[in-house]
Amino acid sequence: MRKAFGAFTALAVAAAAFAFLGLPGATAQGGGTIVAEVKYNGAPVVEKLKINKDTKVCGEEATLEKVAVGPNKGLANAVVSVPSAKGQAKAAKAVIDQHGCKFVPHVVAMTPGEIDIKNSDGILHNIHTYSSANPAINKAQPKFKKVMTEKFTKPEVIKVTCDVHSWMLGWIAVVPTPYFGVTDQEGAVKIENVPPGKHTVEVWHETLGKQTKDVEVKAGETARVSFEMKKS
Amino acid sequence: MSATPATAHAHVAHGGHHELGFVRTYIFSTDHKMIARQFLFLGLIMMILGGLLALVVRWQLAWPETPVPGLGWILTETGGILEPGQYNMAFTMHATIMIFFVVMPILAGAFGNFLIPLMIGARDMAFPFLNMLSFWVAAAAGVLMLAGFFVEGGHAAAGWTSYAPLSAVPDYTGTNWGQNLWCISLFVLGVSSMMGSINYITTVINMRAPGMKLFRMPLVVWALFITAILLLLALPVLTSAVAMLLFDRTLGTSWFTPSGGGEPLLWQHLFWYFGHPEVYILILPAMGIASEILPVFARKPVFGYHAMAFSMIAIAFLSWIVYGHHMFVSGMNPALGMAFTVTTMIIAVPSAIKTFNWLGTLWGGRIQFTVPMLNALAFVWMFVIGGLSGIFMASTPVDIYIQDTYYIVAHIHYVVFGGSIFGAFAAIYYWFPKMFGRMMNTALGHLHFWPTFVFFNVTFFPMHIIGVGGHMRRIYNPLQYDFLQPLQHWNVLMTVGAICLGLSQIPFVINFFWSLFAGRKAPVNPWNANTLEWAAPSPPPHLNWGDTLPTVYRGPYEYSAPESREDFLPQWQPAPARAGGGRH
Amino acid sequence: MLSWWLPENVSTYGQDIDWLFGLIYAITGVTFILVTVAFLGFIIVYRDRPGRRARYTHGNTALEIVWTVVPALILVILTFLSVPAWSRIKMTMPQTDFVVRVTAKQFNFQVTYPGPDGQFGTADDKTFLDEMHVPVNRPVRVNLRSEDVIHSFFVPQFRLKQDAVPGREIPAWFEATRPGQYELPCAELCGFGHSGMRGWVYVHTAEEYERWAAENLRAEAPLTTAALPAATEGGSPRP
Repeated sequence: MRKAFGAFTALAVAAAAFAFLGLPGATAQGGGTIVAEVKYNGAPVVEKLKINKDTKVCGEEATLEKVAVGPNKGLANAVVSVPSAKGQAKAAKAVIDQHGCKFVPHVVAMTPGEIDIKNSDGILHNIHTYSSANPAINKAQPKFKKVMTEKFTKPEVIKVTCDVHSWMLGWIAVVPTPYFGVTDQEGAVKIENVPPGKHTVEVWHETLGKQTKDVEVKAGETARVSFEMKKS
Repeated sequence: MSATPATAHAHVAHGGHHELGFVRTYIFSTDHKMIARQFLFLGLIMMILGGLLALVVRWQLAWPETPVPGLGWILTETGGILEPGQYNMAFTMHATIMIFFVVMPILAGAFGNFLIPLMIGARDMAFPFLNMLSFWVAAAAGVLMLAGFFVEGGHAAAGWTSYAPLSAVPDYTGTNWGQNLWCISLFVLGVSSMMGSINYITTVINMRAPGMKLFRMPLVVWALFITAILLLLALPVLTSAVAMLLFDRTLGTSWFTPSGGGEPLLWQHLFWYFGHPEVYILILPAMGIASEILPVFARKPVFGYHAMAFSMIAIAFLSWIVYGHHMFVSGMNPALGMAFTVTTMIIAVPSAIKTFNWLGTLWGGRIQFTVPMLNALAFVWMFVIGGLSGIFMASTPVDIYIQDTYYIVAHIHYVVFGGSIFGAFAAIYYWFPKMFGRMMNTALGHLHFWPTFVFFNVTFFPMHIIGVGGHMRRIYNPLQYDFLQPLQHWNVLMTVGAICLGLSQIPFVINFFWSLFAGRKAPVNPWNANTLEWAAPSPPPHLNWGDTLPTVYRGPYEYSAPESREDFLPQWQPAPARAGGGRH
Repeated sequence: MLSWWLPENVSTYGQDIDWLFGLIYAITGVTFILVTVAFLGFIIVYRDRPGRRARYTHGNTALEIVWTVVPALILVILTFLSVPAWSRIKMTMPQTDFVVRVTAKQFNFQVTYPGPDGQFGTADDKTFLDEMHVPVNRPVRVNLRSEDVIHSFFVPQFRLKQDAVPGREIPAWFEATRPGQYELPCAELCGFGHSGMRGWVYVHTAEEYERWAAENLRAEAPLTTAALPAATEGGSPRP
């Protein structure tokens, strides 16, 4: 409680200071847009697995998309963020669902704070996280527990598995900035209202690693940046 | 502080009955009888908790994943439905509480404390201050154990056996401080038990009244004496093991985790090296209690006194070399399994001897069906079932199949509930007059005994059947398995039985508290029994005896002896005019 | 239907276990009936009635010897009868080239076949999740491993149970006598997912098995679990 209050006060003071000094970036309205494209020049890596458990919900076969490559070599499920751009946390709460014995979405990005973990399958799942900065979680989520809320306060990429269905794999990227996105099937992501200035854009993929690129954002304009991921 | 019996004796000799304050009389008392009552209350209160946990487990097994009545206000998130981790926690804590905080405090703690000095004619324990410390350390252990229910992540959920590495790495269960507190509590309890057992052993060896030879001791004193020796030698092994486990969990050692060079089976060796003697720690006092009560209400000397005493000694010796039968399929060298089969088969012999001698005690008796006698008889009969079912496990090939099934659960409950708990009920009904100076109500006693006996069997007998059907223990939802579907009727029946068994304890609670305050005043020797405690007033005063210690003239079971006109001949009574000395 | 007895046995050594079980059941059953008759008989016959005094006796040495020696003999005989079955099931391993590795892991059994080269740990290994396929009437060696906690490999119809202990590889074996599909539950508490940790053993006829193997064990078989996430990815904080 006291911590929250302290943080609130600090934010309020900072906001007031920015407003008073009239620094750019204090309001999102004056920002620019970053459009990032992430490409991968290799073949997609998709594995299949026969399932023998909870087949009514999970199906008979699981598809494990380790590297999902769309048309035009776009790389899906990569997290693009602008760590150097600071701002207030987004209001929307992050959500990850367990649906059809898969984590949906496969990769979710969020700012430090709470995330709702849903179980729309109606069978026993469990949330097992592998993390170093945040405390690791290993909790059962029975069928009657539709939503569990967890808190990750430190930025890091957290691997999530379900030990009941060992093929299930998901990622929660906790990023230190509200300016982030996850690439779609075409490998594209659009980040809006980025405070103008010089920034470093970072991309992360579960198997292909990290890359960074510098970009200059101008108010009201769109800056394009493209990445070419390689097998690490 | 009257720390030694010598000074205690001096007090009496000087007639110095100075009043002790409230705190010294009722709370930090060094009087063995008050400490016994404290242990009894500790055990009975914990029994309510342990029993409720059992009902929660049973509900889940009969009607999986439905709201448990009455749990809605605790498990608000799910409306009272038990989660798998919470189910594991419930059975883990049921067993932990029942074994360490119910049966041990009641049988070894309460009756050990109450009976040993009174029955051997001592004024108190050898070390009264240590005795007091032993209770308060045990109470602290109880508080630590209860605290585990309120910590983040819940209480220990790795089974009462807490097999490593499941228990050794917090991440494997998601339990953190619960399991730590479990370790700390048992560590503290181990210290308490060591203080108690040293006290019992010293008292029995050094403080017997004039004439109380070893083989004139009542069998329950023999049983408690042997139990104390087992406690002294077994509990430290558990104490060290839980300390090692705690270090694995908190300090990063790897005694039991292979990734750091540890050995998971080491935990099982240590645990069962303690655990098997522990089973006898739970049952030996109850055997002693039955051996005490059967002769009184059969009005007949116990059959084969020496055989009874020696068979208990044999059990104590053998209990150290049978523990491996818990580990037949654990991955232990199978050749060792063979050796443990031999010893396990042999340890059944002393139990058989005891059973036949109990039957011999009944033969030709004049059996009075008092409430303590009914409970003692139930003990004998149920122990027969518990003992015989153990033979299946001793046979290694059969054990491959029934290991980790409900057959084991049935066996342990026939031994620990059918044995130890019926023994405890018998003891409470029998010694309540001496302990509290009032008689318990007989009608309520019958109202407690008969339903308890019936529903005990309804609850636990079908466990044999589903165990033979392959029903694993410690599973959250039996309906997840195709081959267990046909057995589910039994689960429902057992749960109904368990609920009725729980309700059957209400007359006992009423009887206990009503009699405590409003029961008929007890005479000195209400059962016309022979042993020394019945020579002291009911309840016995501080330091038990008047100016002089009683003198013992004969063995404890001279009922219907031809030399006396009465059908009993107390140990403290000088020889009747008609005939010579007693026997033994 | 209420069932009262052991599930159907479909393994070679299962009948040894069932026979011993039946024998012990008979011995303990008869003992229980005799003791109960004596017990209830004494209670009724020797109930307290006016004008009768209890028999004054302290025991009988001959009786003590009899009821020490007779149970001891029965138990020793039982021990000796248990030895051959135990030694057949757990202490010896029949000659077989059919080897499967089972790696238990919270809360699944991963079943690995060595592939065409017959070697574990090579690229052509095939791993299946919670399912094992074996031919009937052929001894199968199961090398049991665990990645985390102790699990137990239990097939009720085979009368087989063996714990899987992390840090060890423990061999077990069975020879199924009838084709079918048998449940393989985990029998040792392994965490909150213990209940429901269950695989299947498919026992095929020889031809059926060959067909299955040709389809699933060849190098380019479509289904694979070469990389189950938690098993292969790094970043595990576990000590």
